[in-house]
Amino acid sequence: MAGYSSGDVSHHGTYEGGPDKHSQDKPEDGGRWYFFRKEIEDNSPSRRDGVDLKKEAYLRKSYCTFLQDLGMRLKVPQVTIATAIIFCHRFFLRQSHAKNDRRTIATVCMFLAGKVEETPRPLKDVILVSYEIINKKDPTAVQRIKQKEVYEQQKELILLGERVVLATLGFDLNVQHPYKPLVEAIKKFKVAQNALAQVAWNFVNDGLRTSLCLQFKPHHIAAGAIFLAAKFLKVKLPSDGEKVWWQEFDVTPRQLEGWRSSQPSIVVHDYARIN
Amino acid sequence: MAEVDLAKKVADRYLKREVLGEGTYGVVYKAIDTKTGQTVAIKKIRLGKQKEGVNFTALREIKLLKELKDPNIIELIDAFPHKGNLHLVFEFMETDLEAVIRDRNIFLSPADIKSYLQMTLKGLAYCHKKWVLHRDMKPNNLLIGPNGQLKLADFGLARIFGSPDRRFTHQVFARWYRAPELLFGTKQYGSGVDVWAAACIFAELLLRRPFLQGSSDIDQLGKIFAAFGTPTSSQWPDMVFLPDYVEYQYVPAPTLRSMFPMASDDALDLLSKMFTYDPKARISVQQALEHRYFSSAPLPTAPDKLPRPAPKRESKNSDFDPHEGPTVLSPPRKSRRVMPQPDGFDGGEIRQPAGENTSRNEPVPMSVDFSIFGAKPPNRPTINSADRTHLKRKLDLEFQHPEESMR
Repeated sequence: MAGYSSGDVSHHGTYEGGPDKHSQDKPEDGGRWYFFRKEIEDNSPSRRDGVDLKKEAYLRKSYCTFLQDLGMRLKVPQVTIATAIIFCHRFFLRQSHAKNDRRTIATVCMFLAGKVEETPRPLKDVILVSYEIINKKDPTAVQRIKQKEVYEQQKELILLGERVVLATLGFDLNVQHPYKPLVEAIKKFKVAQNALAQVAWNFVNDGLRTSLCLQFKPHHIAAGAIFLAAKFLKVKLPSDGEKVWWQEFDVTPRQLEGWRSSQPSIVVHDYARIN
Repeated sequence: MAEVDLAKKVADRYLKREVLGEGTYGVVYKAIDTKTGQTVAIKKIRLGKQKEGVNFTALREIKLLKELKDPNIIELIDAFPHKGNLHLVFEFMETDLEAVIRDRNIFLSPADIKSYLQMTLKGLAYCHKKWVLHRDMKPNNLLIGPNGQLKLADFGLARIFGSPDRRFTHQVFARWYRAPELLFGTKQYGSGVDVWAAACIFAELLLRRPFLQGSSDIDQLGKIFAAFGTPTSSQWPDMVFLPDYVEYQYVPAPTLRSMFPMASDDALDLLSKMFTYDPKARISVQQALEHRYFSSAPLPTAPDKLPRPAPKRESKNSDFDPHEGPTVLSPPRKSRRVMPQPDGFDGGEIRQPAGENTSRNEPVPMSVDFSIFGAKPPNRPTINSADRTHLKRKLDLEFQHPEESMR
């Protein structure tokens, strides 16, 4: 987090900076946080600082893995981990990887998500565990963070980072996840519920690690995950004349197709490989 | 610093005016939004030496208010960090319901009471629809805007109550507004706690004084039982299983009519449904709004026609300072939010430096003369008084230990 010089922000716009909004989204439901894939990929602050697409995708995956690990060690619920991941994604929509250490920002996001999701962890625990993961190849790190000055320095950094993250996020702290709409919808289906739920759930989790959640609203992601899962399992979803299943989600078949084509194929491949 | 840079631009948007009072966690001052010309109230929260970073309560309030957009809920216009403080920008409100209830120059007609209650319930219904419990309903937190609209404020204690098995602290609400299940120590409660508090506010509008003024938690239950009779297990089957349940001596209930002689039959019927002991049987906010009380004559007064405290310009006291805080009836830590300020007083020559305001309370004419009762104004309890240390432990600093959350 070395470079918060005063020039940074004006360089890539301020609060309302970043890619342009989807015009059809209403601002009151967090619409300002959804973008077209091209906008995300072409206009990110990191891109302007010379971080290429491949590198940014790698960094994105890296902080997601870090947050999943950190969250599990801190024993916070999955929803808190998911919120921390979304905070991090949104932060890097508006700030550059070149100037912000991803793991410091991720640590801040986890600390903040804990408070926001009413599952707070003491700052001390967050700092110790995060430091341990960051320096896991260094056996002396565990001892080092126990020294007062090392710890205090780390603490300063995280507390400063918290303000930067809050300002960058514009204090939009209420994050919705696809889990709830997913479960509610699957309960209504008569076919192959468990298998479908499991596969769709995994797709949602995989989607969390990509820019998908910056492109689609939670219920659209849930619908897309079911759509993909049904295809994957070769299950036919109910479509009895009057009400077709995807109407539950307020999506159109065209949006679903769009979702499928923007779902990085790697997710599907990964999934196929594991199973 | 990116932080300063981001914030400065936003901070330049607001022209700071006088201090309005001391809030729960910082100073509140009046300001003009240069972008819209709107008058706003800015709550400044010190970020200084926070052990756990940005105040948990403030984050909670911001998170919820960003989602709650309703005509009967205070609007959070903006939030930004600036010079080591967190600034929350709210719409400016002239007064609050406690000031209205206390002002003996105000006559509240049945239609006026109906209107104030209806706006309270509408704001609450919206919260509950969004799965938010307010948990600190009291007249002091119901602010009144320039056109008479009443809005729920102070969401620092509010919580999402989505999952039914979530366990909460029972140390919420100022004591006089606390539902019996909370006093019996329940950890799993729902929207009924807000309904009970709204019923207390309804009763307070009718009586023009707080209805159930307990001096301790035990005494609060005593006051409740004296008003409605000791609950029987047939009235409230789950009562005996509550953590702090103790058997109380049986007291019969006086009739509601004897306590509220001036209220209409419809008003009493709604009141009794809101004051139902068993939270499962208690009327919901939505049902309350559909009660015939609101559709029968007299219809609720239009908000802009509602009586409100007069601007205090008629004071002859030369020491009178219009920028002075309001008459403080509630505990000093949380003084009145905003006092109506006649435009003519904005000349500037009587302005005094911000900060001195709080120390000089005497010259302000009290809106209520308690000497007539031969007593001081009752000391309103808040969660900031008796239970404060307990609450702090419970709400702000209680970190679930990993082992606990796994259970």
